[in-house]
Parts: sequence; C-alpha cells; structure tokens
Amino acid sequence: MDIVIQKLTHVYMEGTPFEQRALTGVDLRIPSGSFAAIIGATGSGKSTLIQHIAGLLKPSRGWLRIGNIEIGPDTRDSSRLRGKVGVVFQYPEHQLFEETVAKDIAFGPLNLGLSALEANRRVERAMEWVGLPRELASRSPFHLSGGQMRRAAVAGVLAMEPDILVLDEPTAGLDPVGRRQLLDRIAWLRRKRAMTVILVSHSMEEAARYADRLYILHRGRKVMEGLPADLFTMGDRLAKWGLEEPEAVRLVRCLNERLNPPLPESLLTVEDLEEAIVARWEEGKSP
Amino acid sequence: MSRLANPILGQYVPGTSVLHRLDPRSKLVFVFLFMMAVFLANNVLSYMLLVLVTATAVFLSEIPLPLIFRGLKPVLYLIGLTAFLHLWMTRGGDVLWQWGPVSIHENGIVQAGWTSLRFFILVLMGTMLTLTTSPIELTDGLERLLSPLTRLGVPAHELALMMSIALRFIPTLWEETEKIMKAQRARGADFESGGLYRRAKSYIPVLIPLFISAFRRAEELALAMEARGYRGGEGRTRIRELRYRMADGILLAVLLLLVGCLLWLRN
Ligand SMILES: Nc1ncnc2c1ncn2[C@@H]1O[C@H](COP(=O)(O)OP(=O)(O)OP(=O)(O)O)[C@@H](O)[C@H]1O
Ligand SMILES: [Mg+2]
Repeated sequence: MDIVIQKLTHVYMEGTPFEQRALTGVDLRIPSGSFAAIIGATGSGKSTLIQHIAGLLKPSRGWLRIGNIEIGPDTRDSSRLRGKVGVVFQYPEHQLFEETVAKDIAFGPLNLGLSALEANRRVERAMEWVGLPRELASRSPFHLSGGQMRRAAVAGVLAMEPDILVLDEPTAGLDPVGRRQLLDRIAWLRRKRAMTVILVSHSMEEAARYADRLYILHRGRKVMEGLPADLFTMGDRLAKWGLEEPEAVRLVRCLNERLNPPLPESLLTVEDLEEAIVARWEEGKSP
Repeated sequence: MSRLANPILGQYVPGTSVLHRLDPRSKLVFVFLFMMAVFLANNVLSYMLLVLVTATAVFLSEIPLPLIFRGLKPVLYLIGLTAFLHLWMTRGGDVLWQWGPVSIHENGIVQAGWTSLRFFILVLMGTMLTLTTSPIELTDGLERLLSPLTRLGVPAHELALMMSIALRFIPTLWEETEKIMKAQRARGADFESGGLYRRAKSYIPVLIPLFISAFRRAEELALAMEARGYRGGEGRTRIRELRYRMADGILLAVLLLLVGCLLWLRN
C-alpha cells in the first residue's frame, strides 16, 4: 500500500487564539515496502504528520491516500485504517494498562475481532518478534524494566500485524544497546513480513543506518526527500534545519581532506567506515 | 475526531485589557459579591442592570465573543435542560397548553426564562474572571485574601498551593488523556459506540495509564520542590507583588453602586 500525501496542511485549534500551524502544504509519497525515515528538529511536525497516516488526525486542508483509502478534511470515518496501520507512539510504555503482559498485547488483536485462540497465537508471535522471554507473559507489565516495558508496548502494536508500521521515536530513553536491538528487530521483521516501516527520528545516525528513504521536515514543511546517500551533498543545509550530519559522514569529510584517493562517499554508518579504513590500511601495507 | 481540541470552559486567554490588568484580589472579591448580588434581582429592571454590567465586562475584556461562547457551549446545554425542566414542572398561573397529564403553566415559562438568565449571568461572570486572570494570579490573589485567616488555623498558603498545582496540571492531564486515547484508538479501542456500560468500560484503558502517570508526576513534582528547597509558605518572598491601582478603586465603586441599585429596584 503506497502512501500518497498531497498539499497536507494541519492547523491545531483553528480559529482560536491558541491556533498552531503544524504542517504546511506537505507533499510526499512513500512506496509500499520501504523503510522511510521522517527527520526533523523538535516541533517540526513529525508527530502530526504520522498521526494523519494513522488516521488519528484529519487534514485541515489537502488529502492523503493509503492504499485505496482516501482521507480529506471532510472524511467522517477513518476507522477503516485500523488494523492496517500500527503506531508505536513516543514513550509507548505509558499506554500499558492490563494485568498481565499477555493480556495487554492481546488488546489490539481482540479489538480487531479475532478469536481468543488466534489472539493468543499472535501474542506469542509478537513477544518472540520483539525478543521478550515467554515467562514474562503472565507478569504485570508494571513490574518490567523500562526496556522490557517498551518491548511489550511495541509487541502490542505488532500483534495487530499491520501492513504499515509507524514508529514515533521508538528509541527515546533507551540505552545504545537497547536502541540497536529494537531497530534491528524491526528491520528484520520488515523484511520477513514485507511491511512498510515509517520511523520518526531526531537521529541522523539511525536514519542513515536503517532507512532507504529520508524525508526531512522543517517548521512544518517538507524540505528534502531522498536517499540516505544524499546526506553527503547537503552540507550546511542540514545545520540550517537544526540537524546534524551522521558522525561517519563528518569523519569521512575530514579524512578526505588529507586522503588521496578519497574514501567513497557512500559510507553512512560507523561500521562501513571502519571496514573501509581497515581495507585501506591493508592496502597500504601490502604493496 | 478531535473532541478535545476546543478551548476549555474559562481557560485563561492572555491579553492586556483593563480586566486583565486589574488586581486579582479585587476581581475575586467583585465576582464573589456579584454572584451573591445576582440573587437580589427580582424584576425586569434589576435583571437588565445585571445584563448591562455583564455585557460591559465582556466588552472590556477584549476577548472575541465566539471564543467565549465556544467554551460556554456545554453550559448552554445545561441551561437549556434546566429551562426545559422548569417549563414542565412549575405549576401556577394560567394553563397555557394541556395534553392528558402534561401541561405548561404560565409560571413555568416565567420561571424557565428567569432561571436560565440568572444561571447564564452567573456562569458568564465566573468565566470572565478565569478568562482574564492567569491561574498564578488567581491563586496568589486567593492566598492573600485568605491570609488573615491563617491566625484562625486556615492553611491559606497550602490551599493556594494545592489549587495552583491542580490548575497547573489540568492542561497537562488533558493533553495526556488525548495522547493515551489516540494510542489506544490506534490499537483498535472504540470510545464512541455501544451502550453506557460498554462505553464506560472502554475508558479503562485510558484511565489506568492516566492515573499511573498522575502519580508519577506527583512524585516527581514533590521531589523537584524539595530539591529546590521548598519548605512551605513561612518567610517566602514573591517575585510578583500584588498592588491595588486606580482601576481597582473604580471596580469597588461599581460594585457598591450595583448593590445599592439592586436593593433600591427590588420589590
Ligand atoms: N495537540 C496539539 N495542540 C496544539 N498544538 C500542537 C499539538 N500537538 C502539536 N502541536 C504543535 O504543532 C507543532 C508540531 O508538533 P509535533 O508534535 O508534530 O512536532 P514533532 O516534530 O513531533 O516534535 P518532537 O520532535 O518534539 O516530538 C508544534 O509547534 C507543536 O507545538
Ligand atoms: Mg513528536
């Protein structure tokens, strides 16, 4: 299911003195099956944008289409998107409420109208996907560690087996290892289930490592759409939008000032860079 | 979709109008006494006077009318309902319309009219206070007004603090509610359909996380206050000093004049 957004504008509390313009004329297209990263500084409108994709907000102006479902300012019922789009909100562990982890994860599937048996199967599967040990299923979600809570909450969304998975800064507040684990799992699951994944992030590192498409928002407008490799050519523009180049890109730029021939400009992650440097090292020793 | 997006009844609207600049203490006293004075009115002239004073306040506040009424909408329903009940329940005077056991009496119409007008004036004046006074000013004013009572054992500072914390966290809890509802809605929760019981039950997935976060916030707040040396009201100085001005004197004069007129017009 492709996601097409046309001239999307969203104004919170329109017509009051509290009016807040969050998005202005956003056009974008996310092809089915891609791993898209939406990047932008605080307040740039990322969360507002993804809530439209999830059918939780209606455009003030403009429209969007997900698969064959179209949503405009006058759309009354967006519940048809339920089950197709799963959203993991910022700090998703704050939405846990059931007595046990298993019951909480089953909330979504049961709301979709699945049988208890099928819901159960999905709970087990989702727990495995996020790497939660089986014996936690009967525990209270409030007695888990922070990282485990986060996984349980993500599992609650995955158990609905959506075609499109939206993650709003899923790694905020996790330690570096926890971040990597969570996103590695998601990337693996995306390939396995052929989902579309939309990742909202502040972090260029994360975006460059996992995404195959980038969309940059700045003050409610889409200012860039492209491939991770394009990050190299953007230079100061990123800083203007309140963002930083990935570390690896910065390092390559510095190294290339002294290296001849220069390192290739496709090294976006620290691992790729490490490999390239080691190769260069070996080359330098052998001749 | 966005039922929560409307302004809350009486939510402060920042501004620089005459009403905004009045001392919160005089506004509090005025509104309190005005609300009691409303019950003195018992004929057309006195009600007209009240309407005039209220309309002047609305005009002076410089707050756009649509905004005021959007906030008042839920109250208008309530007023409509009371008027409706009065219409059917009040007996006396000529019978204007009858159908079997149900009838509308003359007094019913009169009562419905006056009661809803009185109710409306009360609510409107009350919101004028909160629309033009920030919660901080409001609690500061309240604390100062109550402070003579500390000698009688009334914990004025603590009361004011409780009130300001409650006021401070209403928007936060509101936002939180909205956020959690969205998250549960995305998991397929349905808050709109079904009977009363089912609908009430559908709010459990919202209420539990809400309570948990409220407790967490309370704990964090207590810790933060202690860490910054909060020890209660004793000996605490304040950054904003309250001061009566000319306009406060005028407000007092208006109040006295109003009460005088109402007493005089009363029959
Ligand atoms: N419920 C709301 N009511 C009013 N204004 C809002 C609301 N939610 C967001 N905004 C405003 O809309 C703008 C965009 O907010 P949004 O939450 O989409 O940004 P964001 O890119 O997700 O930021 P962050 O990185 O901090 O999460 C901000 O100016 C914000 O103040
Ligand atoms: Mg956000």
